[in-house]
Amino acid sequence: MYYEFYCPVKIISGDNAIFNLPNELDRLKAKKPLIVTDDGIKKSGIIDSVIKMAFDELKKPMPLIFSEIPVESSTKAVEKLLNFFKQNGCDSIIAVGGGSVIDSSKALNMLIAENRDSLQELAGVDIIKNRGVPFVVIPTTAGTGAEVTSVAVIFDEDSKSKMAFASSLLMPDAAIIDPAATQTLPKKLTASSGIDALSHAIEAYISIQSNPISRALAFEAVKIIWESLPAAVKDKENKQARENMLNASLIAGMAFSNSMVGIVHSLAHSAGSVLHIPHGVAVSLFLVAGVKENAVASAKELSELLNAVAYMNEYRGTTKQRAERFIYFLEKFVNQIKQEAGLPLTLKDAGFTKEQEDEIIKLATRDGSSIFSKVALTKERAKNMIDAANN
Amino acid sequence: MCSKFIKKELILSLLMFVFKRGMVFLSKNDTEFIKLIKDLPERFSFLMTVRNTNLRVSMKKSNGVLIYAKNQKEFDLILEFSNLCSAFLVFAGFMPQYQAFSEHRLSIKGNISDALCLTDAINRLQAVIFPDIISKKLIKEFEGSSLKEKSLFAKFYLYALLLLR
Repeated sequence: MYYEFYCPVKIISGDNAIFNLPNELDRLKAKKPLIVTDDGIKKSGIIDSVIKMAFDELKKPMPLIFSEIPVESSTKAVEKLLNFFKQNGCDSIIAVGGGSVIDSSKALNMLIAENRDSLQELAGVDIIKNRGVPFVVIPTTAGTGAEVTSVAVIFDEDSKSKMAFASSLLMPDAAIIDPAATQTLPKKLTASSGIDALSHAIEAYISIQSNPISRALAFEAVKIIWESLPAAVKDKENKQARENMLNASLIAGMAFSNSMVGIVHSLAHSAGSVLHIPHGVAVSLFLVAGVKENAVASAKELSELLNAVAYMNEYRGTTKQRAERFIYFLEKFVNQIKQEAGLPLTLKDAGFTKEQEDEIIKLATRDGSSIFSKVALTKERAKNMIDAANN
Repeated sequence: MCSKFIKKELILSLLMFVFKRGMVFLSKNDTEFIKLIKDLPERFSFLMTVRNTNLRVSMKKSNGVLIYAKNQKEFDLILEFSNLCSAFLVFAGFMPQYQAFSEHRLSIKGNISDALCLTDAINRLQAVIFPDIISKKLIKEFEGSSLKEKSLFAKFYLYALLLLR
């Protein structure tokens, strides 16, 4: 078996981990960092309370803040961010937020590294050649795993489509995982991002690119999510559950960054673009349908995942029976989380109409994630998944 | 060792020649192949190369068909095999393209959506030039019947073209 595994990100995780931020910036020789965030995070007080405290404690000046990142990271927002960065003579980036903020920060770092003003020419795999400025990430959602991945997705406002960027040079220098950063996360976001992390782990486990390291990580992530997501959704004061989810999301991120995801994400990306729904919500709609499509081709892997989610008395049976049992538990788990958080249960609930079906199928079958799935994402299979997600 | 390397390089250059001729031929004569490359933009160009060797296939889309792009310097999509052995495995039909990509034997520089389009076209070529027993192992699944139904005419004509010319 041949495989490659890469994760150069320093991980600082645990209660009060944010207080290490100034030290990390010193280590990276960052003199004038820029905090990149969104309005919601700024209003939540995480930056003004927790992060400010970390700088005050060491009597260091609070970095500048750019908080105009939209819910969906876009080319225009990144261009604005680049201007702000240049005008203020910043030399490093601190991303505080979810997937959109982290992806925008990765895009900013790409533009700086390549000395460009526009992202269009940098879309694709391994286009960038240079490393950017020091880059630290503090995730405020437990799901994307973007703090340890080598990909970024930005919405191109000119072509009205999502541009994907992939390069190991996009990876941050450090990720600070602190449950204080997720304390204001609403129930729906906790649930949808948690299901997204679960899908990263499951798809990484059954991917054609999976390897012993990524499988070990993905298995552990599934186990932690199964134990902690219901508690994190039910009670946002449950600090331990939130910390566990942050760690699970990061571990799943490490796994999928080296194994990639599959057809669940192909459909989620396309449905997300067409229906304008958050990525986590789209994933929650397609996860079970996508895993069911893999039931035969990935029976062995799915049967192994049963050990992460069930008691020993459920382990008996053939590979096929065990895989089916895992899918049964998965469906129950996902539905329970969706109901608890009030997420859309079907595609229709998310605003899907029959006229949008062809567009979703077309985009999905041209999505790069499907390369790494054991089963091909044919038009017929994409339609099956849409039908399943609609019932 | 050295002669083995040269032998492999020779066979590979022959296989790449077949690949190149096959792509051009199918883009003109095979309706399924034409459908598959329809989504590629006009003047789209790609390069398939093997790192640290002079082996390369460069083509571009012109007036809806694929033609050689011998003197082109810049390409929209670059598919680069990490070494001779990896390229040999793929061109000789021992390893599917997706597996080579997932094992980092093949790197893609450019738009992934275009790469997927090209992959489908190469799958069609493989379905035509290789016997079923091999092509079934190289292609994950056939989209409807598009790749399954091979044109016998295309197959024999392509063989004749390659052998006689």
